Amino acid sequence: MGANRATGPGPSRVRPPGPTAPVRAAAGLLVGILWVLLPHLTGTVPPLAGQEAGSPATAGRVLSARFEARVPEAEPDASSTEVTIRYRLVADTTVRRVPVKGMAFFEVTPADVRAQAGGQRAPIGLEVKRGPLLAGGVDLPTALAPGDSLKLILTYRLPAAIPTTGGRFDVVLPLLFVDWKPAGAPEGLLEAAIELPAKYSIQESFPTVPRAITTQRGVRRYDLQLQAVPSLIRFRGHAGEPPFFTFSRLVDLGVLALLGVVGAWGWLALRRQRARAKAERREAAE
Amino acid sequence: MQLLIFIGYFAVVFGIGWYSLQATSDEQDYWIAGGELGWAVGGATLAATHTSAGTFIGTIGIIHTVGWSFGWLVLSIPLAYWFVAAVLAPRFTRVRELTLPAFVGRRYYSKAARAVAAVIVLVATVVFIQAQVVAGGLVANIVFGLSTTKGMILFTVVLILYTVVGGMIAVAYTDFLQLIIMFIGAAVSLPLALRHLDGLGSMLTYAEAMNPVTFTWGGLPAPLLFTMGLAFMLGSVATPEKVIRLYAMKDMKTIRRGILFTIIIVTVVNLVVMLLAVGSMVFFPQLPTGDLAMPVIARAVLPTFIGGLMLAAITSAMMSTVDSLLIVAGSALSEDIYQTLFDPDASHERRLWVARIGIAVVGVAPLILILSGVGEGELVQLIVLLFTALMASSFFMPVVGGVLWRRATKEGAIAAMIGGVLACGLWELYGHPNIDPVVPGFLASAALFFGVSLLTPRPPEEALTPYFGADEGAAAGPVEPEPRPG
Repeated sequence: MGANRATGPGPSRVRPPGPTAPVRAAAGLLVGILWVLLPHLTGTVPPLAGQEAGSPATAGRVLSARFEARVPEAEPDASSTEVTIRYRLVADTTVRRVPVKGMAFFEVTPADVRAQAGGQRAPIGLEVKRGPLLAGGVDLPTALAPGDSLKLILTYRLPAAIPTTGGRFDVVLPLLFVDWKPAGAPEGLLEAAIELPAKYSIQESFPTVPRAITTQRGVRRYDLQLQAVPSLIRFRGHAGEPPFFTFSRLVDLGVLALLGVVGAWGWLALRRQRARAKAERREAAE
Repeated sequence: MQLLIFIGYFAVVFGIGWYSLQATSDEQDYWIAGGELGWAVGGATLAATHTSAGTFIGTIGIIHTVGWSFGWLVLSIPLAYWFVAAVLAPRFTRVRELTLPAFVGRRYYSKAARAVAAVIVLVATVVFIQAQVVAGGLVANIVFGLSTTKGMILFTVVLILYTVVGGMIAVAYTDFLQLIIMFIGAAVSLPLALRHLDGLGSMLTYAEAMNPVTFTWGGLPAPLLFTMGLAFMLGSVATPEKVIRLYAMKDMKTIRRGILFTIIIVTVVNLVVMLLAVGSMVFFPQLPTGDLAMPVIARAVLPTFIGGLMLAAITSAMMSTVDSLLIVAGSALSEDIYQTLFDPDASHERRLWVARIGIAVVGVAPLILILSGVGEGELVQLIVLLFTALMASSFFMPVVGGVLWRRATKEGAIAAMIGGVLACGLWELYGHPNIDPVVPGFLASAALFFGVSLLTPRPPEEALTPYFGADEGAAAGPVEPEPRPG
């Protein structure tokens, strides 16, 4: 034991003298001052670039997005995937143009992009901005006033599933997204339905949250829900029946096994520690 | 499925709390786990406390918003912990206290100094817990589809329950479990995210295209970035919930190993988190708040089981931080304020009950503040930074100066604590937003610490002996555990 160690918990060994009443008063005063400052302190965090605290960062907000895509068989020479995204938006300021962006992931670029705003066709312009980024906007036939809502429908074509080696395929579906923040993150902010030929089995997907998988008349439909709008939906798989041990399941099982090992080790360590403590107590009692 | 994973996870956590309750025989057990932790659990509990919502929600949230320039702050962490191991711990742990204010009280031979420290701890804790409660609400929003408000209430109730029951033993062992899950979750998330984008190179290309600020210094003003780094460094040395963990470890050798373990874990986790944040900018360019990036990544990138586990780990990160702070706040109230000022002869049972009531009050206060609209909607990391700045401004000088400078007096320490926290708070309210409040707070604290100490009588020798005694050379050697009472 170190020479200077206290012999037990509790009050300090060097017991300071001194009046208690002034100390109490000072402590009370300090509590009062800090308590008054506290609400102001936590309310004054400065806004950051691209994130204006407490106020909308963009001219409007996204209320919901519905994504539909029908992926044909892997014949890239002729066929293509038809994509439709239905956005519900609300304006926070006067809006004449809705900003739209998209990323040409793995050189998969949206083509024949069309827009419909409030039931009317609307001109849309998208340009390559920085590398694979496409940016532009939809010019609204009628300007939106603050608080107005809008249904915006974007349709475009993408290449069909990309065949890779060994009967495998890769479906890359970039989303054209409205460059406004969502109003919140409610369940089903994004609902997506993707149809693939039934003979295709999915082994891996992004996002990894399919809500339902149904097969009807030669088409396998994947429904998914997410609380945010991604810039990409991607499937990897192959023709034929899906194996039980998909990539995702293998990862899950690996982690489960690892946790099992760690848990067992922890349990054994705790038991050893308890036994040691018991023995020490017995020795001390003797 | 994710609900089941959460229920299973929290069943294990409560099991640990129950086990710890059986193992808690005295106050030392409750506050500092008997001072018997080994380097792995001790280091893990330190790392888990550091790796809070500030890391898993806040760091990702800020990088998602302003790019990776914020990531340089990670570099300050090893430096801070090296300082703790090499400079602070050898003398600081010579006398094992139960709380940081108790150290202040002993070193500065003053009940007043102890009470001032305790009050600052109590109030500043509320600021920090606010950040964690906000983050808890966001996770509950993503996992259970609850509104953020209901999520915050659920988070607060669960947390207070198991902290009140188990004390520090519960906190230490759940921290260990939480850290393992966080580490595995983060380690698995990154390769999976990279796989969806065909590797690191293409992820970086897409991130730069998506947001041109990503790899520049333009996201945050340079002075703010630099001073935030200072806040992180000074705060990592002086925050009570971290330094108190030095007392929870067995001896100096264990502390050194534990801190090395902490540095490795925290650095790796932060690097992984930075890359995940860059990935989140590509996957989800528009989120209602950057703080949602990690919960959404866990849900959308990871397979179901590990995704649920990762979200449980994020919740764990927050819980491990809040439970540690609640322990610190509870001890500040019972040991440093109640016993010191009001009832020196209070029984062990009475003090524990005062602490439990304090934990409940301090735990609920942030929730009430947020529900009243105070601090609502702020980025988590910015609230964390404010807390860190407050702690650095009030405690760095009295703690570090207290074990390095014999001439430091109680008047100097009290002036440094009060002056530091007030300068920090006033700068936050009225100062230039491009300078972190730690700068005026720390400067005021240092000036008052040295100035007032030199103007007041030297401290009595008996107050210095424990820290500057004849066996000074033994500081680097092992610190023996003191006998367990009873």
